[in-house]
Amino acid sequence: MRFTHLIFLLLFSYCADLNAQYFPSRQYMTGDGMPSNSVFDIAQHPSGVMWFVTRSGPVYYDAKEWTTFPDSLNLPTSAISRIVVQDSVVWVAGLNETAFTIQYYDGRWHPITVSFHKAMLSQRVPFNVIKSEGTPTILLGLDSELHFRTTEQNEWSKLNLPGLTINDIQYINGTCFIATTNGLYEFEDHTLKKISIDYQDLPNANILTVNSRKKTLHLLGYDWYAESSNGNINFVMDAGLNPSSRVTQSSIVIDQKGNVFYGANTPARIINHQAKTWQNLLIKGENVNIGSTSVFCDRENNIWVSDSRGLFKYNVLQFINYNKSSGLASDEVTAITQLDDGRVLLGNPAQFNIIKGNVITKIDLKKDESPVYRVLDIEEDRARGLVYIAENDAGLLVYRNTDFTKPYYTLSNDGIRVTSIEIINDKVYVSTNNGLYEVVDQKLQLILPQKGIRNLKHFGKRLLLLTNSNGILIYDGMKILKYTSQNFDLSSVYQAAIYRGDTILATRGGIGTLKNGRIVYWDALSLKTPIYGILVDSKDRLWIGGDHGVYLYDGIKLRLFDVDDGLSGTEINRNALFEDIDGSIWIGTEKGVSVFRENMEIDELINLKVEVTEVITRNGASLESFPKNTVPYSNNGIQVSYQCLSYVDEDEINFRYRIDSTRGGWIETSNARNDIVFSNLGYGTYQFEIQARMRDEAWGPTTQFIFRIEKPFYLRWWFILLNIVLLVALVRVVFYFRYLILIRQQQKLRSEVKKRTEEITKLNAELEEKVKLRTKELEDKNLRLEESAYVNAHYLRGPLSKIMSALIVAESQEDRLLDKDIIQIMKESVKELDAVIFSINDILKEE
Amino acid sequence: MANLRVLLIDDDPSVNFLNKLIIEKSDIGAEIIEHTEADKALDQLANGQLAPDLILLDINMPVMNGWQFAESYEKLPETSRSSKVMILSSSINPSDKELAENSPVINGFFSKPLTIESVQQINQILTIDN
Repeated sequence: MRFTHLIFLLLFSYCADLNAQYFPSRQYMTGDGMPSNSVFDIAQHPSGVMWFVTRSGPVYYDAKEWTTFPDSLNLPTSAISRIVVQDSVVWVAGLNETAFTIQYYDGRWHPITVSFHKAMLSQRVPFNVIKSEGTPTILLGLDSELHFRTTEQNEWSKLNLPGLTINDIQYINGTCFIATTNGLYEFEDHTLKKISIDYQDLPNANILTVNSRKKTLHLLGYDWYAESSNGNINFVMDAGLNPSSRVTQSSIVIDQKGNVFYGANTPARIINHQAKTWQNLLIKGENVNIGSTSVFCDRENNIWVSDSRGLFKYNVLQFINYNKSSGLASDEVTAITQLDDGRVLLGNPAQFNIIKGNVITKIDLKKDESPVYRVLDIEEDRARGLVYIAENDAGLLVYRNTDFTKPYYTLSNDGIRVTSIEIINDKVYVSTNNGLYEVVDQKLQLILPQKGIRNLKHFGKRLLLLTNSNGILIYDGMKILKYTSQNFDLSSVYQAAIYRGDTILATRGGIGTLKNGRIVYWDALSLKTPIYGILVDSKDRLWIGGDHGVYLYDGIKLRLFDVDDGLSGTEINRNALFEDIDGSIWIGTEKGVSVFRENMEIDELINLKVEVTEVITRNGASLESFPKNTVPYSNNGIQVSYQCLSYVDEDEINFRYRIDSTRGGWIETSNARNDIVFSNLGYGTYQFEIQARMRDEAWGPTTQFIFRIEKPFYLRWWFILLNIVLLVALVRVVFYFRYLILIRQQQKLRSEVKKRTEEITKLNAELEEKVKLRTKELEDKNLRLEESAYVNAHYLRGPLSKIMSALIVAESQEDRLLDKDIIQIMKESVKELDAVIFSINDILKEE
Repeated sequence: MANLRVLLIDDDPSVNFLNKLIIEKSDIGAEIIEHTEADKALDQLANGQLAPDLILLDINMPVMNGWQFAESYEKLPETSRSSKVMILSSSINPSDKELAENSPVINGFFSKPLTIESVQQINQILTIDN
């Protein structure tokens, strides 16, 4: 082992104060919308809106926009301006350009007549408003005089405290405290009563301001801080005030967790009761706020600090962070452990820090030219009273846990990189880049050659060798089981833990587990980004450190904490997730360590409630102006304005809303615009719901309201009925006119038919007449022909008869001879016959 | 039986002549009177100058045709109209036969030429009637 290449000689060590922690913070300036960077006092309206009095007058902030008031109102603008909220009324007092003014705001500003001459006013004018017998009483401290009056009175009353100066007036839980240069008084029934405090135990009785919580008085004096309960005074510490300047503004607040903050023309400070010290509140580890005018704790437990350089806000409930600026040897925290006596060891790449109480002892590790130094793991050997530090190329450093001034011994070889230490049954196992060793008699004894062991972990007697590319090997002292994965990233393992029966692995590919002899993805939680650290805490929660924050998994919900939540950095080192004996979770990152205290209630942070501030309909009228929120169809659009008065991180508030739970899904929106317009809504009943959440955390409670769009008139029963009636009437009219037309047509047709019939009848008559005439003519002709025939026959038969008669006569003659007469008769008859025939022929020709 | 007196009324004397010869040839022993003008024959009948048993009457005659004669003859006193009147005509007009049948004074209709058989038939009719 070549000691020359090793580190180990303690060069120096020095101490810092653990209180130099810093909280997630934000600085507001004019660029954020503030009217002025000079802020003098802070208050919060019961609605949640934050109020400030600035060099430009009062202003309020609804987590989205800053609202100012016109100069013409002559509101206070001076450094002595104060602002208080009493019974939802905002009060301001202070100097404006010309005079001292007191005004209150209940939707508009109301000035209160004051008669104090400017010259009467000292550098500080304590001001408050108390509620006495239902009427606001205004109190002003003018040097030794306490002036007071109600809003109904025109004259001021005063009480004098000769020889004293009134430093502050605080009204807390019904008690009005008057802090003076010589003791604390209570104002009650228009009298001042000195509160009995044993000032003998205090540097002096000059009380700058006071606050009270859980029957404990918190007193900020000049220059001390003390607490009083049950009649006992407890001096805590010197307050660290600037002795060379007069205190003009002072405040002290106690947050919901009991943390005490104060400021008195100093940086705002948090008190460490255990160490009896204070620490400035830092902005990203830096002192930015140097002369606070007010410190205020809002109802979300955000700490607001005002000063002439802007407005500052601290999220105390989130992680408490430490880095180099706040006392660590360097920023990156690579390994964490806690010794049996409670001391916490934080490993930096080339240093480590011993935290005891409020003191950080930083140990620099002297090193030679060795290329890679990095504290990769720290383990305490309680049986031997030793602490082992694996420092990669620098080898294994072994300290006595009672003496960190120099290593007890070191173990190092060329080319060996010590990566991890694990102690099982007093056996100290050490992993290196080429195998598993056991420390025996202050020497490394090779047990198992294996390249690339990155970390060691043991569960009972089983020792897990976590490698950088070959999965894991499980060694039980006898045999070795090897688990790998076809997925190269899953075979690169950083850390292991057992969670609810599953052996889970932090790998480059995400969360893996052991299944059927192989490393596979863990079914319970799909995380496929690099995971370096895993910790199962005492509450059976799983902390998972990756390369962009730390996840917290309770078996159901997964929540990511990152720098937006106040986490120091983004990358969590593999042996830097640790739960201390108090249950606090230490998270080592590349930019410091973040501590999550067990008393931090996560749910309190994420339970964001949305307030619907205004709902107006399409014509500009408020929805409330409509009975039962029922809007006429002609007014079928609404604009919903809403706000979420959360100041934890205004830029990360997200909303989601839906107009009707039965139809649509949620629509998500940011905090950029806080109104939604729904136009051309159909008739029906709507339920508007809206929720908010911080970043991607769980959604908060639902704020909802129901409204109804009436049916359009053309869908109302009466209109439909009217239409039916009109339609029926129209049909009837149409039918009637049609009937009339038909009747007219019928009449016309009838007339036509009649005319035609008459014509036809006439024609028929004419025809009949013609037929009749013709028939008669024919009959006559026939008759004539007949008669003619008969006549002709007669005329024919006449001569013929005579001839025949002649022949009869001739036949009857015995001689058969014809006499002349008969012959003559026959000749004449023949001639006659011939003439008749010619005559008939002529007649026929004529016919 | 006494001699049958027959009055022949026909405007054609040759017809009357031939009919007289035929009646005579029929051996019915008839006395034959000829007349060519019906109106004068009627006058003689009316004043009793003529009292034939049979009048053979032609239809188509000038001045007074056969029908006019029959009509007038009907109007004669019963004593002047004891003769049987029969039409002897060359007409084949059915209406003439119908008129003859409907006339109360005409007892028969015979078409010309008068034959011996028809004379004997007439005689037989007359005999039966008497």
